[in-house]
This record gives sequence, structure tokens and C-alpha cells, in this order.
Amino acid sequence: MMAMLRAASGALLLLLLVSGTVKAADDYTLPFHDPTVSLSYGVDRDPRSCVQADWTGQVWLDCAAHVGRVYDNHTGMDFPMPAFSGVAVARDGVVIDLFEGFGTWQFGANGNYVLVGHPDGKRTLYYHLAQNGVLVGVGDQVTAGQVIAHSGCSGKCYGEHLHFELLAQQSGRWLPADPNWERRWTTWPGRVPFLATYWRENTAAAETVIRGQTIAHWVEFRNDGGRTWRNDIGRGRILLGTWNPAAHASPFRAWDWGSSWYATNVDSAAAPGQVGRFTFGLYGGPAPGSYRETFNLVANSLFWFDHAHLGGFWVPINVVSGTSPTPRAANR
Amino acid sequence: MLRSRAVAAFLGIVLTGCGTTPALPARSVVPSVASGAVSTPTPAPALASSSDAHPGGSPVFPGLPLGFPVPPDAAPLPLAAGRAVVGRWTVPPGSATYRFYQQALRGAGYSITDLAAGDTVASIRFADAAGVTWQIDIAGDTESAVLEVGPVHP
Repeated sequence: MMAMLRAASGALLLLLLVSGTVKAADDYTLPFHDPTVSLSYGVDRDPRSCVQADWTGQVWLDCAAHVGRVYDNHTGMDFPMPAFSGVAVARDGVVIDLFEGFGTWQFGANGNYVLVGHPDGKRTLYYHLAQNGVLVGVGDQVTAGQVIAHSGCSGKCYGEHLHFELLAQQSGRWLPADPNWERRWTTWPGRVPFLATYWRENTAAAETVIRGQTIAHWVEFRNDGGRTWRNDIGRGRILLGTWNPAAHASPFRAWDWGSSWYATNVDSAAAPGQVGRFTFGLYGGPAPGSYRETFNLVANSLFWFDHAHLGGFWVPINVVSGTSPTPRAANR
Repeated sequence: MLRSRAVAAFLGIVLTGCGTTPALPARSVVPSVASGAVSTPTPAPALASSSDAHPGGSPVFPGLPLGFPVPPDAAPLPLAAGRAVVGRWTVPPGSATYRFYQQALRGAGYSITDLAAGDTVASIRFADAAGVTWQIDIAGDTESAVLEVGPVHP
């Protein structure tokens, strides 16, 4: 039941996604992670009644609702999604205000919400949240992509959806802006700030490691997303972790790994378009034989990484018995 | 892309002339969030799930799809000439109507092909047994809404 209306509006986004490599000047991400969520109604950029300017630039001289585009005097973007879906903050910032006392499906005024202030002076609003669905507190630092609430249908809400607003201050007043029209998304039209393409490894052949010893291996990925890959500590740093299944304990874990599944951070920060290298040890833990270990990139504690595009990569590893006078050591 | 244009074009046809819609009450049933007040949850009124509950619905609009369910509290409105809409009513809060149709359409044998919800607008597409696609549009405020239905022309 991937519905026609959703498909219709989704088709526009998809076309733009396929054709668009334009990087926005600003750095906002869509406020959800579900790739099937699309836009039901966008911002009306014309304040006049029954004159509507939608996010594509089309002007409608009526007061009708236009699915996938706009309805009259709408100040935000409506994203239909099932109740209790994850709502992600669109940019790093600080929680300014929130309310979560209304019922999840209560009809009335604004409903439950979170208001976040951002370093660029703008604010984002997340409306119609579930009762007790707010996962952050006022004053909390939040990071783009972090799930801050669960969606619902509280307040003015004809059906379960997230109403997302971007607010900019003009002459002392907070006025709605249209991130679609202004192309403020990290990757236009904006879904995945973290995207990578496999680049190369230190060897195209299988790695050979003597049982009980460790060798160094590195792999490089090009940063095709809109965010710089950080290697400092904290939420959002880019990791190389085991995959298939995600975060499984690896028998090749070397002493330099962060945990049983977390092989390493990116060696140094990599801006969009640059190549980031990941260097880590491979320990000959298992009995002699031929193996392979699968890895993928992870944005630590965030949900933003397009694994569907990357899909992971695997390293063929031969574990052999015996000794070596100069085994390669992991470089960290 | 073409589909999207078709949808937009249809809606433009269906809803053009909303300016003639009777003024709807603007009173809010829940205190504003800014006030910090917490209201008691008030579920939307339950609606019957069959057109039988509103025997006057179908005769008023003979162009409706067969067995099209109409909420019992719906009050017919005049159709504007030259538009694709075949049925038009005022209804209780749109949230209740939106939920009503998600159940009632299936109960009447239709298949829902899409749902699009917003703050005070919503749209539902559904197909009848003959494969004809129809669209319901609900738009209003927190007190009442206007419900319209019409065929979707490819």
C-alpha cells in the first residue's frame, strides 16, 4: 500500500535525489530516519489568504490543499508517519522548550512539541508528538540525527504525522522558513548526511595473519555525504564496525579495537568529497583457515548512515599457524 | 512526477472554490501549549461505519461510488458547478472523519491506496471494485471540516 499520493510526492523527492548532487549552504537533515516517509503538505511561502507558493515555486491562486505540495497558510512541513516513529533533530543544537502533556491522539491546539535552537540562530519545531514521547530535556545538547521524540497526533492533527518547522528571526519576530525551497538540507533534498563510497584497501588480496599475532589493515572510503567525518570522541564520530550482523563480536579483534565490534575511528577528519582512512589491527584468533570479516561505517549513536548505499565490505583473512620473525603490528 | 502533477491537478479541480466554503468556527477546544496548561484528553466523537447510518447521503449525491459510507453527522453542502466533486459535506473534526474513513472504506469493500495527513487537512485515495480511483479530501479546523469526494482522472 505504498500509496499513490505518497508515491507522487515521493517521486518528486526521488527524482531530485537522483539528479541532485547540489550541496546546500546550510546543514539540516530531514527530521526522521524512515526512508519511506514523504511529504504530505509543505510550507506556504505566501502569507496572503488563498494565494499559495509551494516549495517547487508554483503559485496556486486558490485555498485548496495540494497533496505533496502545500495548503493555505501552512507554516511547516507535514510528514505522515505512524505514531511512535522516531523524530530526529535536524541540526545540532540545544533544546529550548518542550511540552508532552497532551494525549498521543488528542485533537486540539498545538499538541506536544520540542523546540530546538541552532548555532546559526534558527530554530526548529517538532509538533504533534506522542504523549510522554519527548526523549530530551530543556537545555540538552542535541546532535543532528539524534532521535529526540516519538511522533504522534496530538494537537491540530487530522492523521498521524510530524509537523516540522524551521523558524528564522526577522525584525525580532520568529517567522517560518521553507527548508525545501531554500535547499537547506545537507544533501538535497536531504535524507542522508553520511554517505560513503568504498575507495581502496592496503591490499586487494586476502590478508594472511599468523595465529596469535596481529597485522595492520587499512581501508579508505570517500565521504559522499554532507557532513565532515569526525574522529573525536562523542556522538556522531565515524566508526568502522563489524557488520552482518551489525556489531557482532569479531574473532579478529586486535588490541587496538575499541570493543569487540568497534574496530576504529576514521584516522583523521574527512570533509565532504575527501577520502577517509580507517586503520585497524586484525588478530589471528581463530584456528588456521580461510575466513572473511565484514565491516561497515557507523555514525556513533546516530542513525544517519546510508548502509543501503554502502552495504559493507569484507576482508578475506587467512589464519596460518607458525611463527614470523617480524609480524606486522597494528599502528595504533 | 507525472503522477504528482496529476494529483495536484486533480486537487486543484476538486478544491478550487474553497473560498465559498462556509466560515468555520475558530474556537480552539484545547488551551494553547504556550500557556502551559494541560487539558483533559477528549477523544473525537465516534462515528458510525456504514452509509446506512446516513440514509440521506447517497440520494443527495447520486454520483457517489456505490455504497460510499457517509459519517452520520455529515451535512450535505451544495456542489459547485463544473467541478469534479461528486459529494460535499460539513463534518465533525477532520481527525474523526479521517479515522472513520480508514475503517469505513475497507468495511464497504474499497481498497485504500493512499493516506496523506496534515494538521487540518487530510486526503485518502481509494479504489472501487471496477478499478476506479477516488479521492476524499478533508479540510477545516479543530471544530469542523469540509469533506469532498470525487473521481481521480488519470
